Amino acid sequence: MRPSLLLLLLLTAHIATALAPPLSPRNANYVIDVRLNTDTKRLDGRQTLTWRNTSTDQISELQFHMYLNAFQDRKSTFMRESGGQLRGVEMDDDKAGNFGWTKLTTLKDHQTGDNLLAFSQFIHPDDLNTNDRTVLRVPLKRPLGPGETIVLDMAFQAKLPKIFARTGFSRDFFLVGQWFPKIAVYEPAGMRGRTTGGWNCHQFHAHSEFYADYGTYDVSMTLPKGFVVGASGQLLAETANPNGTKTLRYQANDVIDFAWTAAPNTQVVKDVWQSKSGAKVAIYLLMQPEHASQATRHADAVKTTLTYFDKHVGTYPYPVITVVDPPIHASGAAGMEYPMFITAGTSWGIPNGARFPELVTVHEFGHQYFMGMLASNEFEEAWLDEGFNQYYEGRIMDNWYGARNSQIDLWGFRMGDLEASRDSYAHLDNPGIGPSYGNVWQLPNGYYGELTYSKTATWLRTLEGLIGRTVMDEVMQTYFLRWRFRHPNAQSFIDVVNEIVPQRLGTNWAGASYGPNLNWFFDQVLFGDRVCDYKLARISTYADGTAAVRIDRMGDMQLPIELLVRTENGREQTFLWDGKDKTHTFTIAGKSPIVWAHADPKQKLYMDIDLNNNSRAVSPSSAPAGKYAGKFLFWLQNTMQWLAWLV
Amino acid sequence: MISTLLQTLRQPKLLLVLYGITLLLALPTTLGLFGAINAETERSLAPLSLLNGFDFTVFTDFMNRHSGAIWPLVRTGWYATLTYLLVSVWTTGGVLNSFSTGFVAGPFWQAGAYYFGRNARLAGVTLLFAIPLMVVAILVGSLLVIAFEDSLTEEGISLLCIGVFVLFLLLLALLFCVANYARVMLFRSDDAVAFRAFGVAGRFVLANLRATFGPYLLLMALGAALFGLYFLLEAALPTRNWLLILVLLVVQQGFVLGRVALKVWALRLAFEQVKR
Repeated sequence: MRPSLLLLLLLTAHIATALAPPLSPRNANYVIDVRLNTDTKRLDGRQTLTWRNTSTDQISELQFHMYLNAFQDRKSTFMRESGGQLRGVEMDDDKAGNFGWTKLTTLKDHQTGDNLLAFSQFIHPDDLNTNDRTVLRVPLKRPLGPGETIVLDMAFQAKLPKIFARTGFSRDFFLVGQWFPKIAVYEPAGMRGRTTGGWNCHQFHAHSEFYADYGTYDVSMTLPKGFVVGASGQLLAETANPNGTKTLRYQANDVIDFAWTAAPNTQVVKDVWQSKSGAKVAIYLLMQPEHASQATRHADAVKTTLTYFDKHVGTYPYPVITVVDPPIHASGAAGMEYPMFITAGTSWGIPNGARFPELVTVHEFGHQYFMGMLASNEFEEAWLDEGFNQYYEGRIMDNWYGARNSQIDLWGFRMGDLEASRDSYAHLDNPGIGPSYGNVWQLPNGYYGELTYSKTATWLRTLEGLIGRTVMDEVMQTYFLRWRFRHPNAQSFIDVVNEIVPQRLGTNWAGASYGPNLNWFFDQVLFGDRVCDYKLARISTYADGTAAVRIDRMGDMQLPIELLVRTENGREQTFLWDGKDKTHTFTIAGKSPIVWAHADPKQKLYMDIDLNNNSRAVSPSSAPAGKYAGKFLFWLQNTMQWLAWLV
Repeated sequence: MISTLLQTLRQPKLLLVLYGITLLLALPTTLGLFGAINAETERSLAPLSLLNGFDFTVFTDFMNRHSGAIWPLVRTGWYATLTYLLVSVWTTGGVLNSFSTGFVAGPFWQAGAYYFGRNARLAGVTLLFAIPLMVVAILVGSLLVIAFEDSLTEEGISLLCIGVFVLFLLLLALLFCVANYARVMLFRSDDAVAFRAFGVAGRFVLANLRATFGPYLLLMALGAALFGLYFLLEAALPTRNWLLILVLLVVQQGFVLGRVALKVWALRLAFEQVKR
């Protein structure tokens, strides 16, 4: 591309960005100038933070996230909770250079020149771990009144950790996340159920890291010129410096965070998605050269997801999305989400039938909505972003490839995405181990993924089953429109459900027997730990021609359930039961004998931990047993033959 | 090679006896499994969705609740396999005897008993080489990955691992080929010292690599090709009802018989080669 044309494009982008009306409150705005030393793995940055008090409170202190300190030693809360590993990737703590840290070197009130650093101190609001230095409290010399703005001049230094959990370096690959001092969220009384105003600033935990206000980010990064860079937002300018470095300036508006990557060996693939309304989103894929042949798979995943969200949830308002494919040695950075910037994850030679690159891309892109635009508190309600996103990952993947084979379709083995989520929850050793709701670090140990991702996706699918896909979509669209660029919580979503469902379904649906709202549903599936299991226990036929079908409620969850009965003359009848009692017997009149009965035939109650026991045939076919016994016989004989070559 | 194949096929009784042993050992567990699946599904309609392909939800729901009834049968299947291994040591002598005298039931079992001890020792010797070979392959593969992980790409590392694995398979095949010839030599020279026979066979195979290991590899490749063909047929045969399941069963048993023939053919090849 000619330099003059590039300049024109960058200028146009800059003007368009500057003139675009704000989508969010923009009360935490950053201008950051950072230099990356690729040899020492250190960052030296200066930032100007402009923060507005949007509450009606007088604020006497500020609180900041200093999250790279989670990697300073093995005593931080993150290290204690995670055991120095994440998703199976362990920290290599043999070398001191593999740890990370950050420190503020300057913190001044721009208007008064007051040095605020001297009185700052690390606090530990979550667990009283005095060795944790991830939350910094900064007392103000003058209280900040309602609507007032403070401008802070800050300088910071940071050492990136060797990547094992999301951020850091690995050889010459850098994924720079949670890297700058980031102001926390001030919550006034009434917000997210608070009774008094105060800062919501959690320490860096093993499984959660996002909760921040919206703002603009104007970030300039200086680094060796041989490095390819990707970042949140749009590239506004790129300048070559005389000392062999270059400076790139990015702008990201109406976002809660900013992350970037740099690596010399990266293949950049560009694509574009266009919505039905004509809006364009530029797609940048930063692929490892050995994964270049998979670029189309990643691009297709992004475009499919954009189209799906655009149709079923709401518009993606940003102009760009960058997808980073980390190298295998930096796999700890894979599968992460930041505004307009996600990391995927694949490996060389992965067959098309193993759709992991697609599902990771779909999932991470989904976070642009759940957490990115609907900025819920991941520390306190991780289910609101991870669970919702898991549900949409399932919907998108299942819609794209088919419900029975969207994750894997290889050599006869098939697995759908939503059914994989259900499997992860329903087949826990104890599915009633706990609710999805709650502070992430206080969930039952070892059940974070199952309770926040899988259980939530499964109960959302159950909600969809009960109220129907159309109403579910309207709920989600309303929730999105009402809460985008704000901080929703559980009640925000429940209120939307309780508003939409009675309007659309009235008393004309099975759940209406439980009352005028769906609190009964959320009390069980979200706040409670009940388990759903209905069983078709018996089919009895009496001499007078009537029949009885008995359904037992094996679990303690109570949900309305349908029964479908088929008789020998081909007639099918549907019955409803509120599902509350321990057992219920349906009396069915008619002379034609029952062939089979099926409780919840459409699998609306997707949370049911055993869908197999929902049906019963009077004369069941033994063909499935025959098929699998035959396969068993064949493979057993083959194993014998293989071993026989030994002797 | 073709003549040895024809010689193998001209002894259908021998092949059927060997095939019958696998069936006899595998059938009780299989019937147990058939009964267990039928009983544990509790008249449910859900398993019907397994007829036309695989259904992850039905399968995992079943295993989550009823694996306690299934795993003991799978373990029993494993014990049946180990039993077959012992029976194979027994039948090897009979098979070799059939090559000389033709298949007659009495002498077949008598020869099996006569050569059982030496063939068992030979199996031990084969294992004695095979296990260290596996350990060395894992060790070498790991060391190579550690040595080159900083300089090779992910693709390079993957190819390196594949290379080591292929080399391991080739060496394992060579080992089994040598064992095959050792069996023939123990039989022909009426020697009882397995180690010595293994050494002699090793030298013989290495000295006549093309004539010995070549055909052996070809048979291995044929076995792999048979599996490829089976997978194609299985994919093409929908198992929607009992009739189609029975058709697939016949195909499956045909392949098992084919594998039995392949094993006898390999031994026949070695037998004729040594005779020459």
